[in-house]
Amino acid sequence: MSHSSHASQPTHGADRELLIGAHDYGTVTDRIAGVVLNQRGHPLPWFAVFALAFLLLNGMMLTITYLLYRGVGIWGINQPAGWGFDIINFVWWIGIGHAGTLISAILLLMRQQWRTSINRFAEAMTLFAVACAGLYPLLHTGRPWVAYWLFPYPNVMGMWPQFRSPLIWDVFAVSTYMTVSALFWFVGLVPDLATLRDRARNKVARILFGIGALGWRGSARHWSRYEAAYLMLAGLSTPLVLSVHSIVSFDFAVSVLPGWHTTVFPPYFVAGAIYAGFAMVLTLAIPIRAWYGLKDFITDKHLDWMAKIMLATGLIVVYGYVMEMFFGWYSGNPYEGYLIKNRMTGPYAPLFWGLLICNGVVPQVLWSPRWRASVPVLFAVSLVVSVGMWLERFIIIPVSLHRDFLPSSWGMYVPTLWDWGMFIGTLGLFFFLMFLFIRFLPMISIFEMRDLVLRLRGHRSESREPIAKSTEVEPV
Amino acid sequence: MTGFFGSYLFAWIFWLSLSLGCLGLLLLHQLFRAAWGRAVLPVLEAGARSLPIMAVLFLPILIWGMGDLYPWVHGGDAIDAHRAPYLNMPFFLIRAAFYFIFWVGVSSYLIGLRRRERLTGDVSLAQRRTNVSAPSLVLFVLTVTFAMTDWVMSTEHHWFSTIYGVWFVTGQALSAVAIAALWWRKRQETAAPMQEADFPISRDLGNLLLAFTMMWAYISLSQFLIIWSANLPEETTFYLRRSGHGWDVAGALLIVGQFMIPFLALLSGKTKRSPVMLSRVAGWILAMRVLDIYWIVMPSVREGGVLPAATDVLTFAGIGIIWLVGFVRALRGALPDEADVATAAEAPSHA
Repeated sequence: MSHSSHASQPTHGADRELLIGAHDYGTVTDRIAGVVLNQRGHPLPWFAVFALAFLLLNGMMLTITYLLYRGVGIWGINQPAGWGFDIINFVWWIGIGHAGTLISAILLLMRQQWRTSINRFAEAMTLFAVACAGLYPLLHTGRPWVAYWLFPYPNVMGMWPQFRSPLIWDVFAVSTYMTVSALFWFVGLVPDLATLRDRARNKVARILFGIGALGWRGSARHWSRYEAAYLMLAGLSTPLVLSVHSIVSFDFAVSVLPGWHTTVFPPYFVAGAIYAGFAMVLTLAIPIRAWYGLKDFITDKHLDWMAKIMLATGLIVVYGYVMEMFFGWYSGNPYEGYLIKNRMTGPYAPLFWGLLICNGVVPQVLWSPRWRASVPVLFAVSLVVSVGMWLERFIIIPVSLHRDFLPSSWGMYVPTLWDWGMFIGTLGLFFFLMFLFIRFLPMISIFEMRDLVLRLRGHRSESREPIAKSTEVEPV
Repeated sequence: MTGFFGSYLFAWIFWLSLSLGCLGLLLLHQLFRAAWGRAVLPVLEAGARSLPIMAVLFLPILIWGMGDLYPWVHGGDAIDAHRAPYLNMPFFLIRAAFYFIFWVGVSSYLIGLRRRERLTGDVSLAQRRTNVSAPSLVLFVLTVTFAMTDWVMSTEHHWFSTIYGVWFVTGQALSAVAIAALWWRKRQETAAPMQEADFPISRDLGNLLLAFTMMWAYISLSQFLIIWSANLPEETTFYLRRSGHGWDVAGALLIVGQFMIPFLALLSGKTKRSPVMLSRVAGWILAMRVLDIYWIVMPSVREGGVLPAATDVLTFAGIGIIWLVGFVRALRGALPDEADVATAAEAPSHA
């Protein structure tokens, strides 16, 4: 398998650290497929996290039920703060998804070897994060049962969406993102589902994996078509990494509100999305690789590279803060100036300073190779960044809204219990889906790992099962 | 005199942006040490070496041109007074000095390290280049942002845009990759016969051109869309000034010429594999970059139409000749590229 580069192309010296231990095609397959096929081997933390997530998920169901019964008035949103947790959490979740797409699509086109062992579960993370994100605007419409009105379809009401509004672009951007991400993820799974089909002893599992494998036999023709399809989907996904969060940023930037209307928003939002996404990938990868003994595959080198990307994107985000603050002053516009002052000294000031510490100060420890190499530090930093990126959206949304142009329309935004219930509930949904995924589907791409074995060790390693040699497709 | 210094600023900013683009890519390369970067290292270093000349060429503006170019020098309204703590002559000079000292300092330090590495064979110096470049890249983006705010944005009386720095950094990188692609063709013709290993370099340069072309379009569109949608008078002035007297035609030409044509040309793998084809696209992009800088700078500093005045052509050629002489001399004295170092450090994993 070599859709990422020529098999003949020498690998970088650093790439050798991407796989640790004496692995051959067989052991790689055994280890990854074993997680799925040996259902007795699941560690205790799996049950603990899953049970907690299931509990929170049920809390979310309860919240949604009450929300549909009473309406969005149960949330803390008001005038002037018409957007609160519903949009904060939408932006937060959708941002998290971006790391998955970056890893699976952009790093593939850039022929980066280190994506191999983390792409599959990063893509799953994307799907589940987008699912969580999608719930918020859907419920925020107040009448989710007529959400299809958002799509432009000929109807007897003579009603069309407002095409000039980025909110409607969001509908297209997010639904396209969900569709392409799901397709990309599934297409990548097909050869592995065939492996599981062939190895499963349980009849039901064999049938289910067999349906998912779409009749895959691993013939040269299958591989050739697979590679073409996979590359094409990577090409389609790549612009989505930029476009989805850019459009989310337009939701704010096209308005005339200080704190929202600023031209740097699109690239700054995209960087923030990747930043938060890598933080979440690290948050998941660090414990999971320990619980399932996958440190040979998700190595310290992988963690190091993810930390570096987090540092770089974090610096871009800080650049965005600097630009916002400098030009808020430079503009000479009293409202812009007041917004900066309100952030720093207003009623939500602790959140603003917390944001600067979480996103700006703490991640700077990643400059040091020694700190980067410390797994507990990395795990802590990734949690801090997740909090920081959540605070950033809080600062952008209610803090810009709550003090309107006229002091007579000032107010405060305080989230209610139901706001928190919904937010914590989506955390439950996310981990519930994520943990189902790592139990029932291969969380690391088996065939791409075999390809990595070939690339790093050549044909010297004893092969216990025949591997498919692909035709080479030139990357775009 | 207004006409002359307007022309001079445009010409100076264009040639300066080539040097800054080379410096930016030079810093970026130290972080990735990718094959394309090792191959075009001499051209990036030579471009960055022109920075001291560009600093000297800034003096005429500082000595004679400030009053003509920058409305804040005369002061006047409330916003000028508000900005005075930042936009005042002494601080402007201090900042300019700081930018150039940093740019010249970091580029000569990096080139010096590589020279020492060549002489002594001390491989640890390569790691030092990386260690210096990472924080320098952060400072580089900040200095370019504030330099362009000072030197170009502040020619507009009240206008501002927070994406401006990113816009320039991207445009400069695009120019620098274009120069690298032109040089790569020349090297292919004059140096050793083309080897199979050289094909990926051309393809990588093509992909970089494509990426920066898209990035430039993305940033330009974002800025326009956000300003157009909000329709605030203090911000629309920038585009209003550029929507008549032929500037609209120039803007449309940029959309077609600096985005659509190179985008379509670079999508094809055929273009990217051939250094000759790639150099044609790169030449076209550079020509469009001239128009782009002209479109950004001129309407703010001179009333009137899009057609260039004699001073535009003369200053462009004058500064251009000085820049090119410096560039070619630096290139002749440059250290060889690092392609050979690369092959030595990286033993192939299998046949």
